[in-house]
Amino acid sequence: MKRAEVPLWLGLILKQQDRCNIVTPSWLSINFLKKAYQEEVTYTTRFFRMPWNWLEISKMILDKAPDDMTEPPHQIRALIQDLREVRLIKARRGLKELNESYMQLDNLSLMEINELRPMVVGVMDQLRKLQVGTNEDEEVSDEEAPLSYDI
Amino acid sequence: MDIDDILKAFDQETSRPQRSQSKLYSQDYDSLKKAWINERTSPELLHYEVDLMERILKRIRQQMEFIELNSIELQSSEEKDIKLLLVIIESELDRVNFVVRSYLRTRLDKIDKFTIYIHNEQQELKKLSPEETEYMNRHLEILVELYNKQFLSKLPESLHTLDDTSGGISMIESPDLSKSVFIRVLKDIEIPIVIGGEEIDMKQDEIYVLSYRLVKDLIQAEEVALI
Repeated sequence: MKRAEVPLWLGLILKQQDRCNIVTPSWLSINFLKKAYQEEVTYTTRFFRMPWNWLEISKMILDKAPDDMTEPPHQIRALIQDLREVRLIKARRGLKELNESYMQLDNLSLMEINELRPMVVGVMDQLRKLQVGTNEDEEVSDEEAPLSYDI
Repeated sequence: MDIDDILKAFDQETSRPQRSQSKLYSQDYDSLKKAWINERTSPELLHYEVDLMERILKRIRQQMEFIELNSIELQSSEEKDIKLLLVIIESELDRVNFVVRSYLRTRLDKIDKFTIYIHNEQQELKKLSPEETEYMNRHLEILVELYNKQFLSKLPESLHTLDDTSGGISMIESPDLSKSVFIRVLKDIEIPIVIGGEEIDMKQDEIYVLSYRLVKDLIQAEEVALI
């Protein structure tokens, strides 16, 4: 048995052919995910730093290589789900802060950003148009924009 | 054949012949991915990656030849290992092809949308590859001909133009540079960005949504990345 680092897609092919086992990344463990969840709940104003593609990678590993994991996959799956939900709620709450100039979203991962993207871009562009439309010294209030959405 | 052989073969095939070469190849793939993401997320057309695309397309051809050559052999011999190798190369080809295709299509999409704008601006024309220029001109030609035949000829002369800018509304669609984009800061930015009287200091790894116009230069300087 030898360890080698290969791209994930290659690892998955080899796994499918039963030629390798995938070493679960250290963050995909009960301990780490529990800690992340704790942090997420403790600090309401910022996100805990997860890997850029944590949702995608965890799904692929849980789907294709659950037998390679040292911890029970269903527990990991449940923790991932919890973490995802608490972050989603936080992100949605943050949408209240939307304005026409900018927004900071540190530590959100790619998948989470993509979920917010259409909504955020749409609202910001709309707000900006309203801003341009009104007099420069007249501030546009958030209520004027169509803020109805559901995800 | 054990895992080592597979890895070795993979190294040789996707990135022959030397290590440094293989690193260069994977850098090219990263650059391609970056060009693709930038093209997909920025509101305006970006410069065509001439050299990069040439290298990538050449390698795609080589790999396809390799597959063809070996699939003939596959039928004659009972080799099982070559089959796995082919599966791996094929998957990689699929992955690269997907990005290449999406990259080119995204560009064509923008070219279609901003045809007249690009056509009129020397600056914009430089961003196109020769093939894209040809495509655009031909497409415009056909479109104008179609419009003329179908209905413009029946309208008064004064309504014939397709690029009328009088009357406060321009018929030429141009990219909206103030569109909001998502960016990730790659390194600390020295000069703060000013948005509506507010200064923001950008630090590495922070993520922002803001107007494309504000970060256009920083994207080019690779200090921030579109996501």
